[in-house]
Amino acid sequence: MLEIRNLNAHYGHSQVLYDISIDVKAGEFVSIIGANGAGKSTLMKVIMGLVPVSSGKLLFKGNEISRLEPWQRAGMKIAYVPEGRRVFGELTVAENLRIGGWVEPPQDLPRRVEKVVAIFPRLGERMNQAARTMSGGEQQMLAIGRALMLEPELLLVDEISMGLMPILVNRCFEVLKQLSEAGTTILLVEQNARKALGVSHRGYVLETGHIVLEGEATRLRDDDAVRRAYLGG
Amino acid sequence: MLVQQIINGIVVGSVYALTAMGATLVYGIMRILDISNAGAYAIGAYVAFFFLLQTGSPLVALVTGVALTAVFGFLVQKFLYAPLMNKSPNVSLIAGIGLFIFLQDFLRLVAGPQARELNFGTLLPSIQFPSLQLTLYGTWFLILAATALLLLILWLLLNRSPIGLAWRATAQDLETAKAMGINTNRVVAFNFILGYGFAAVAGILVGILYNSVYPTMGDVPAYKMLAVIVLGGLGNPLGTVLAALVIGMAETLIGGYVGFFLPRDAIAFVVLILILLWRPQGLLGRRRSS
Ligand SMILES: Nc1ncnc2c1ncn2[C@@H]1O[C@H](COP(=O)(O)OP(=O)(O)OP(=O)(O)O)[C@@H](O)[C@H]1O
Ligand SMILES: [Mg+2]
Repeated sequence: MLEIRNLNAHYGHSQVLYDISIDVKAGEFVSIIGANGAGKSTLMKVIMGLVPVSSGKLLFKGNEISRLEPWQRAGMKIAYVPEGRRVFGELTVAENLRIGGWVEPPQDLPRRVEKVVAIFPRLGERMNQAARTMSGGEQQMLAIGRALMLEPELLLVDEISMGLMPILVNRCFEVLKQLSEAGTTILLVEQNARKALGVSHRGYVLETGHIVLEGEATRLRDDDAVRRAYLGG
Repeated sequence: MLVQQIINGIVVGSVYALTAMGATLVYGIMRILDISNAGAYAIGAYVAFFFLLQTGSPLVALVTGVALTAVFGFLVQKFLYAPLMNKSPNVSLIAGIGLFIFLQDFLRLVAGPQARELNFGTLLPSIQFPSLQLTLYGTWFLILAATALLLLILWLLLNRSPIGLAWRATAQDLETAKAMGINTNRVVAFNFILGYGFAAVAGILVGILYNSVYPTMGDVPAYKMLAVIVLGGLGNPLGTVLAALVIGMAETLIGGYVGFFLPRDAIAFVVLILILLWRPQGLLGRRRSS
């Protein structure tokens, strides 16, 4: 589904990603773990088209997408849950969801909203509330719900657990797990390595812009280096 | 007399609102102060003046003036601001000022430095109430009606249409809007077309109101435009309307009725400074968290 080959990316003159190669197969749930500043969010932005590819390949379903605009990638059903939620605070919950389904036929949106509300009933109760007035957890649900409006083939999630109470973290991971079981391909970036590796099939470890390790999630969880660096011993 | 001044203040404020609306919309999306928008004000007036002379039809003059200026706005966006979008906002600011100065000199070269009479407002009747010392000019009705209509259309567009929803999302978070599938290039182009169209209407109305068009007619409006959008809370259309009315009222009431030792344009800025000391974020501004 997603093939990244020898990819490099820069902000201005400073290189952030070095020779990255990642594969995500259809139906797979893949996690990328790494410390602060490793380049996880940058990688997500590169896939979404918000940061340009300097060199290397970026293929989605076999097609090179690195020259496409972000909205064209959304049109190919790549959905994105940005770091820090980034809901549109001045817009209502309903409007945020509407924007999540922007590239989809408008007559199909009510059905999708119902599906999202079935997953996050809380959103249904707050349809006409400005997103800015909601709690952090509700905003995270909205950010996920907004992405689901696309009925994505590939779901990119940047830090689902940041700043949430443990009970909400669990709820969010559970939702991702269910989506994965229902067939959605997921690429998750997480600092909470234990949880991420707990739900995903495979994982990559990103260190200062380099992929240093990859493998089955269960194998990574047992890896000594990973345990020391990311799982707290 | 007081009533006369109040209506006059609303008329002046309406013109300021239209003048500043284009730059407000542009700031809302791009976070740059588009000074050349005030150049569009003179261009609209000149194009309309030209077509009024050629065709004798006010309607043709108005439509071509607004339409050609809107097209000009699209070109400014495409060839001036789009290439500068990833640079510092200061670069865009300077480029916009440069374009504004160029436009003035261009108009001076093409149309001559002298003021031209539009001779259109005189066609509209005035209503007099001698006992009340009140004269209602036909141009006032024209300006108030045009402003009300345009602001209503703008409000509907921004709050009740898909393009308006895309505009509001893009104004709040351009990057996320893109990632959600909104073609933000289109939103930005639409923004400039609309913004320059508004400036053209303002320029034409002012040409009618004072019965003259001249190359530097955008100068003072450029300063006022800045005052109005800063006072309105930067990029907030409703704030702009409110601020325009406050400044229009203040300068007509203080300048015309009470009498003051400063010229009218200076009063506008004194009011701006006083209000900003009280509310640094502008009348309807909210401190942005980014
Ligand atoms: N807009 C930017 N301009 C320049 N440098 C940037 C920009 N965004 C991020 N960087 C730099 O790129 C590197 C990687 O940042 P990135 O946000 O991708 O890390 P991350 O792995 O997501 O970190 P975190 O876990 O804190 O979210 C960092 O050194 C950061 O300082
Ligand atoms: Mg990050």
